[in-house]
Amino acid sequence: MMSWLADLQPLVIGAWLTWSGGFKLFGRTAPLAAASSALRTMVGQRWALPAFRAVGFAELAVAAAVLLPPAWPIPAIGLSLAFIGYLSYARVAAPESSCGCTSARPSPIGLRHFANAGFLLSMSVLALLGIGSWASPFGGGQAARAVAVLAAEAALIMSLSAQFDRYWLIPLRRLKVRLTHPLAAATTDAVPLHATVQTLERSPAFRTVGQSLRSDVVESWDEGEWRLVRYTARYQDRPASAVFAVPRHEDAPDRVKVALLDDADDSVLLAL
Amino acid sequence: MSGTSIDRRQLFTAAALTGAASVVGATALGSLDPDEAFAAPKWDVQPGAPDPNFVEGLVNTITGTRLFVKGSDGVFNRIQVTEATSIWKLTPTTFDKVEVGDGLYARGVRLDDGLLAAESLWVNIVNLEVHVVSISRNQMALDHAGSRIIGHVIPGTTATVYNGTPAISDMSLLQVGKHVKVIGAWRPGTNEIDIATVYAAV
Repeated sequence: MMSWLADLQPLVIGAWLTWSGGFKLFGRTAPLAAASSALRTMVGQRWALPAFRAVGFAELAVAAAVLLPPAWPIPAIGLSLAFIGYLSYARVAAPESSCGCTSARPSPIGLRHFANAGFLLSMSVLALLGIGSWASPFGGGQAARAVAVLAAEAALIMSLSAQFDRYWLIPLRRLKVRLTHPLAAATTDAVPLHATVQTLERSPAFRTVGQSLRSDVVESWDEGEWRLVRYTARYQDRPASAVFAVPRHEDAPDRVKVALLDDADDSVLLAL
Repeated sequence: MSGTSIDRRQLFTAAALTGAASVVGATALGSLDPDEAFAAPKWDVQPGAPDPNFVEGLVNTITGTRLFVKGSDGVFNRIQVTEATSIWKLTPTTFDKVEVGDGLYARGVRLDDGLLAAESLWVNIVNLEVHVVSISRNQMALDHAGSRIIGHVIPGTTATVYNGTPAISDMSLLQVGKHVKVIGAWRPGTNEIDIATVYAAV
């Protein structure tokens, strides 16, 4: 049983490394992935892309070593260890960098990458126990079982890669939101103050006195259909309050009114 | 520093709502000629030098209505808050809501003794470009360049602007995986914010 399972591993390892190496060598966005990876910190900007391509080439070579019978998993073990080392280095030296492993989508190095590298390592070690022929597990009427194991391992790898999240994780989370309406409590009858300020800032009244305003919104209160918004202003070198009256229930900048009042004696300096 | 008294609010309300008897032209506030408007230097900031009328940092101590603030560059500043200062902390609020440990941006007028007479104070304000990672009850997990931020929705305060249209309180159009811009109030010492406004495209 162990040896049967072991003989299947080269297929998964080979497929994964072919995919990953193929992306690094031939992917259209490979230069982008190289630039955002920790290789940039490791070997410098100039050599990031050549190093990235070299890693891709090494991955393809290791894939060939495990796929061509008799399977030789030792290089794959070395590569997984190097991969874990690279991830640890990136985590410490360039925490803002992406893995750049199999896509250019930004994916800061985290637990999932280490889990993925650890899985690659354990598959490679397991492959040591096999007899070296990945065709043999399919014989003896076990083909369906072999396919099921391969599919399960592929699913595990994909669930650990952030680049596939948009196909299953994000739709699942969207479905959850659609079913549970977690932000429903945010919907209230109150008109947000920001809506009032948006109307206010597009009004002729604001265009006229805007130059004299010295502060952000000091306070606001409601009066019937109006919302009053007070700012601090300076008018002819006197400290003043600018009080805007904004219609609360409609977006009508033309109806906005304003009064400037002297802070010393509350006399109206200007009203429009 | 506390809200304006009811009497004064009534006076303000009456002035704003009834005072439009004579429509004064823009010229009442000075010339509209751009040459004249820009002729006198409005700001005493030198090219390349820090703006003297602006202060940022963490509140170190509060004495009366004075704040002692340590900037991110290590420079200490004193800020005087007055009745006329606008104070933002998630919403326009009052001075007693400002606490030691809060981060702030202040704009005002620098006095001769180095004191900043604040005209506006924005406490703990953050402006973040993020991706929505997940949404749970009154809470959003946000990804900001690889860092996780928890955004708390405050019913009655949090507003959403969809496609630049007027803000509404309905947040149901926000989607997991989408890019949004969030203005919020940081909870000091944490990776959590209270959300004031979300800007989203739908």
